[in-house]
Amino acid sequence: MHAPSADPAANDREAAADQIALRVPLVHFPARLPMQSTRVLGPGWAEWDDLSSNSVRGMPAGSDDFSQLRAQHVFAYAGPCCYSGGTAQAGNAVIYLYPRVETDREGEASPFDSGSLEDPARLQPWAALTLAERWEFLRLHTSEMKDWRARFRRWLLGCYEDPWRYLESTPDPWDAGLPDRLDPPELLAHNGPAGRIVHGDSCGDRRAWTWEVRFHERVAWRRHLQLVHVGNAANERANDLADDIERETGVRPEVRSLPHDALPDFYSLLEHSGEILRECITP
Amino acid sequence: MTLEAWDCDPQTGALPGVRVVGFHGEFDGDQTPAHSQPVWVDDHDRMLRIVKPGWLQRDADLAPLPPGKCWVARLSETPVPEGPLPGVGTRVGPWPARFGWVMATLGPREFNVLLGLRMDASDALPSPVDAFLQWLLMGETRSDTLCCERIGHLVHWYCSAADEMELRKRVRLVATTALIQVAQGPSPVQLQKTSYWLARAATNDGDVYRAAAGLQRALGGPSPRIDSLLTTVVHRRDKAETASLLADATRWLTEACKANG
Repeated sequence: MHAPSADPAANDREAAADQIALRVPLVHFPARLPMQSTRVLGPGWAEWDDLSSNSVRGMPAGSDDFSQLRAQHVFAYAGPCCYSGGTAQAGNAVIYLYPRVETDREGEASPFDSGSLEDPARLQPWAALTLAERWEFLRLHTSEMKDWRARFRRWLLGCYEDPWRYLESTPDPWDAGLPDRLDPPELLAHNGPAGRIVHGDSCGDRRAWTWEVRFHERVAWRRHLQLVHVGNAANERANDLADDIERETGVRPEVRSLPHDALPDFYSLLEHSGEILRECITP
Repeated sequence: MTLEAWDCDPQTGALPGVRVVGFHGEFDGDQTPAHSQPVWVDDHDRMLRIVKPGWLQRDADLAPLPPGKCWVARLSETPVPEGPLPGVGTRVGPWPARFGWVMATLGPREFNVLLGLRMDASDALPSPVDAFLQWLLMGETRSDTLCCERIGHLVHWYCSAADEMELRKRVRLVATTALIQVAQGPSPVQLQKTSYWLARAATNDGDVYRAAAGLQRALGGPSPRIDSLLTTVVHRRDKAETASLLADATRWLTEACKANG
């Protein structure tokens, strides 16, 4: 917590950064699978006990540092669910985990998406560097799980005049939550709206300034589920899941649905993500 | 992601070179009626997204386009693989894409009341919705003229947003009548199911409040399920206003039950 200053605006900024850094949930699209069991894809993720890394699930991985990182971790955002909707559609539900999920867990965090440094790299201008140099850049900006929220708080104060703007999930993926400053400044000059002028679409979007939290091997998601966000048609099913979890853990996660007029997909879930995060942080 | 100004017929919304091959998400029989975002691909099966106005905010390239053009985002340079769509999607079609069209899905619950969804159109040409419902009654598997397909126990119809809304309005009317009838019956489970049905068919926030009133009656009082259902309203209200609107809907249901005898 910060020491009060004579300047009310500075106090507001500090208070906002305190709240966000302390309470921001960790947001995850579970594995590009549907929430419920389906005819085509079989059991949905709602039936899993844990979210597990690829290596835990016995999936093959490359030998380079980035491939190993990807294989050994479960990834979440401490911010809007800006995972790429790209070739494969991300899941039809987003889960928001309480910060307490980090307690006694091994893992790490960085203030941008590690995947944007993998081949084909998009985070500019580092995309032009060798894989080893990109890995070094990532390690330089990586915090251990136990330290990341304190670093995140300092980062929020350093990057935003109004830290609440970090949570923006307006539809433009290059523009949402655009910081006032970034360290190093090249992140802002070469990604987002400025990056598109220089590099076209081959630059980082919002993920260039969204914190990524990486859990080593597995996450016991059911015990730490704060909220599940689904389309309108899945509201009943998601509440059935919340009932199950309440019976199991004694705590009922909240179920939020998209408005009835919204077409549910990755983008509509993302667009409502900022509003949900704010409500999770300031209930 | 690459953005391109794409040809778009101003009259029909047709997008030459773009096909619909499915929709985002996957539904089960207890999740209808539903509407969803189509999955579009180009001639090389690369996934696209039709960009709605205002999606990209500061991009100087995205000045308003003249009639006959729309923005299309290419989401991938690699083709969508054959077979089931990657991630959580359902493959239907392919059909020619139209700007502003969506996927409507009906299931067993709607099939049971099909006759109640049809309009008396004896003096007029059947509307697209009536033509679709007529096709449904015939029990066929697929129509490329109407862009609809039966898969398992669900039927998917690629149609204009206006037609999808018209279809949902008709389901909503039948679901509202069913809610009043079931609310007088002995089964809270059936009332809960019917309340969720009306919520899925909602065409305005009032429908959601009426569905929540049904759910409250089924559950015997306040419940997190009701709070959750009320997150589907378009115009969120503060706690006091929400409680007042729910109370209005509860009174409406009580009065409707009385009037229904």
